Amino acid sequence: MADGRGSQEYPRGSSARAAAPPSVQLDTNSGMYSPEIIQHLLDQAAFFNVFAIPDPQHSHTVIYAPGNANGVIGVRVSEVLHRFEMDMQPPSCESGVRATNTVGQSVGKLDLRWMVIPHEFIARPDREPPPTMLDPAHSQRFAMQEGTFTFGDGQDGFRSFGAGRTFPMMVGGRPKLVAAAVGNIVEGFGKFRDHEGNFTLCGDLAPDEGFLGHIVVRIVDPNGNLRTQAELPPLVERPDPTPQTTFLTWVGQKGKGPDQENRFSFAPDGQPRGLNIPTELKRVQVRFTTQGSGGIRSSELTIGEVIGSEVGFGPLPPAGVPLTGTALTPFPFEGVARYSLYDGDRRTVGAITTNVLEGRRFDMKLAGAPEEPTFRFGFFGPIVSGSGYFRGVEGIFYGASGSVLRLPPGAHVVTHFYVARLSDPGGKFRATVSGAMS
Amino acid sequence: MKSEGISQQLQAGRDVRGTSAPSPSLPDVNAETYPYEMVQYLLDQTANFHMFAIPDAKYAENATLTPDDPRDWYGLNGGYGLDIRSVLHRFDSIVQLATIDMGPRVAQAVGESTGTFHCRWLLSPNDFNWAPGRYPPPTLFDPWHHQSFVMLDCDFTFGNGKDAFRGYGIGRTFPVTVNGRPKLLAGAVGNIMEGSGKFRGLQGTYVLTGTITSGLGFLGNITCRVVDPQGKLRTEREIPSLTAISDPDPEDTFMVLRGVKKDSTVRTTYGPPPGGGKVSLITPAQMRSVQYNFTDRGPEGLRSEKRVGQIVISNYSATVFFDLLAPPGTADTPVPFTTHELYPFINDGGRDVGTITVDIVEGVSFGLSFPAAPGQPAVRFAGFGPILGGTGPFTGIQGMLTVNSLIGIAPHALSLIHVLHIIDPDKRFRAALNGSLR
Repeated sequence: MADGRGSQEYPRGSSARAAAPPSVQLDTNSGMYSPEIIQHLLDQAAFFNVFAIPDPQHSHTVIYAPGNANGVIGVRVSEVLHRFEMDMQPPSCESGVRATNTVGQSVGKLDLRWMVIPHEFIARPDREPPPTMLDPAHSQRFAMQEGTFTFGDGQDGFRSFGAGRTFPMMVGGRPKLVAAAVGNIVEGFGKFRDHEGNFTLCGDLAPDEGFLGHIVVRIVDPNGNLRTQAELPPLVERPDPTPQTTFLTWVGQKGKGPDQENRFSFAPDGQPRGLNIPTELKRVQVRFTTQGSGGIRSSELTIGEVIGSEVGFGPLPPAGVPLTGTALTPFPFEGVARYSLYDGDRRTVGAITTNVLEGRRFDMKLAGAPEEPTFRFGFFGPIVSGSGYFRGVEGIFYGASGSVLRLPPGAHVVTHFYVARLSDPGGKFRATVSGAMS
Repeated sequence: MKSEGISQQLQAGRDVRGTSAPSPSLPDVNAETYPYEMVQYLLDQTANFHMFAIPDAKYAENATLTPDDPRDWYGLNGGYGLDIRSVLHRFDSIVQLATIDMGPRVAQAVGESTGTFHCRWLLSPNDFNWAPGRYPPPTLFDPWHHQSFVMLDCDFTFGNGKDAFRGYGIGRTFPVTVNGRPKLLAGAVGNIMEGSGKFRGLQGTYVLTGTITSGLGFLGNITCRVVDPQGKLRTEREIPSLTAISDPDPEDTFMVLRGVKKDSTVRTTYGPPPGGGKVSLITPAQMRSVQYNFTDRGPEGLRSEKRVGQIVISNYSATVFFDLLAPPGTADTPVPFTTHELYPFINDGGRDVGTITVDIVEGVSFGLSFPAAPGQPAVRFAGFGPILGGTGPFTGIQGMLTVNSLIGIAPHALSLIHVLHIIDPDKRFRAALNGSLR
């Protein structure tokens, strides 16, 4: 997907882009380091796939509009966080695209205050949104005004802020309000102290029940205090809380060869309108634990064989738009991408097209190569169509990533951690046997 | 005429004897430049194609917005636009008189294929106006959000392809929820820019209302109206009834109505000015059931016929908002308009059964002249908008209205084609197909 350097989300209903020519701040230097070194440095990150389940010990607090006992404007939820593992099997024309989803033992807690916000509202941690009524029949934006993650005995964790959207969907003949959001660590404590990172969540939101879904947390970890190469205690499986939903995951990284180079897309008037960005898709596994004396720690990303390809486009921002992405004002971006998965003989098994409606990019210094234009970011959006094994699929696509990006012909190095959350009442995408990689 | 406003045309007209102007500064739209009956006759010299579009399922996987450069992924179908290809079918939707209990019913059937509709819909900012040949800035498709789009390179092809036209238009998406399930409606209006075969040299307008399917196709009604003074596309001979196929859209009901004034004594009046230099015209009309039949089979080739029911279905009234002083609309610069419409449906005793209210939110009008009546001001105009609500059997109704009409100005004769697209999952407004209006 387009990762935000040359991409920009614009206010709906504005023709600002029409009026202003694209601003291409050409930074096409090839850089001081080889792509392999940059890739290694980028991948100094810890990943935590957690599954949030409403805490039965804590009642959720619905927040009503002032003077309106029926007008829900937000909800304060308490969640129990669990280990979560998604293991894709290699795609095949015979068995399709499948993954095991396993929710394990509790590992922590999450306290969140969600507030519905107007569509054009620019959410910030220092700005309380105006009262806005929840309408489950329509897609709305929301802010996660306060979010505190704690792990293990509560010593390790972080406070966060984020924003996202609801998506009314029908799953198994029942209406669901799916929520997806990107959050940023505001302040870490314990093992998370002085770390920067972000997370993306996606799941079902019900004001009277809470949030039920997956959160991928990506923490920049140059010193490795949140990672281990040691074997982790096994996950202790608990009953599946969302049997009608299946999560697939893979990573996107740049391959070699000219077909993996980014290119400008040109409008009919000859002006560059955006970037065409290809990547290779690979199987991935990552685990974490909070057990033992080492406290919370994740495994390294275990990246497997190539299982597909990504082609994507992201528009360039217009002139005058600040390109920086900070914790207070992340750079918004959007884009379209098609993910084609194939079998060992490169026969396409299925493909999905996804639109990233909300991406949030944060600039960062890459330890070991601080002069490289480096970003961490999160994103989400709907799957707008599927073909092959994915024909008729519905769901949300999201992820968390890190990249170094220079505009063409400069280099692009990236690791996208992608997740496709699919409505799957029939279990079409569920595997019963883990596709664990050795 | 192109440089003159309608009021200027009126002042230049003959036999200005009307009395309905509310102030000396506004022209009398009821004045008879030519006799009312003559103008009504001229307005009705149109060929009308009431069609049903069914997505071409085989096309979707090869669809692209950038056919000249498939490696430009801006063109990924479903991202920044939709590459639509539908098969056009004959379509009957004959309205039956309302009863107190059930409201009007529609005998609806989709018939044999007669052609194809291919078009690129590019999403656009909401303030991107009618501009043939101009590309909107990249705007991402968001199925949960109201969006505008332009219809580029619209190709309508009939029969063996000899009779065809290319058009340009604009449209909007309308997300709605039906029994908890999201559904994305689309409405659009277009103008014939260039015709071939029987369409060569003819002017015309088309409107669409339907559903964007999960496969990114368009499923719904297209009504095309071609000004045909020489009768190239019309016949008085009976066209064989359609051969119904399995209902491709059992959830939607389409009421096609023809509206004219009761007679020349019915006056159009000015309403309160809406501001912005516009005027409002309050226009009453009688709505009747109508059958627009057409075929491409047989030695006569493509031809249409019209049969109008005798019984009034609704005593309708519209308030039209537009700039009376604007120069007559052209293919490049049509005159925009909006309306507020009220349909009080009646039963065979003339009693009110229930109402539907609609706002046309996007309308365009084009200047129209008649060789047989020089100096007679007239316009063809078309547009679409969402159903706002209803009473009686229409309580809770959702859907869309398209209008595709011709009117004279001084006298203010009407020749209206309206299609009320009603989301009707329980088929409350469906009747069994029982013949025709013959």
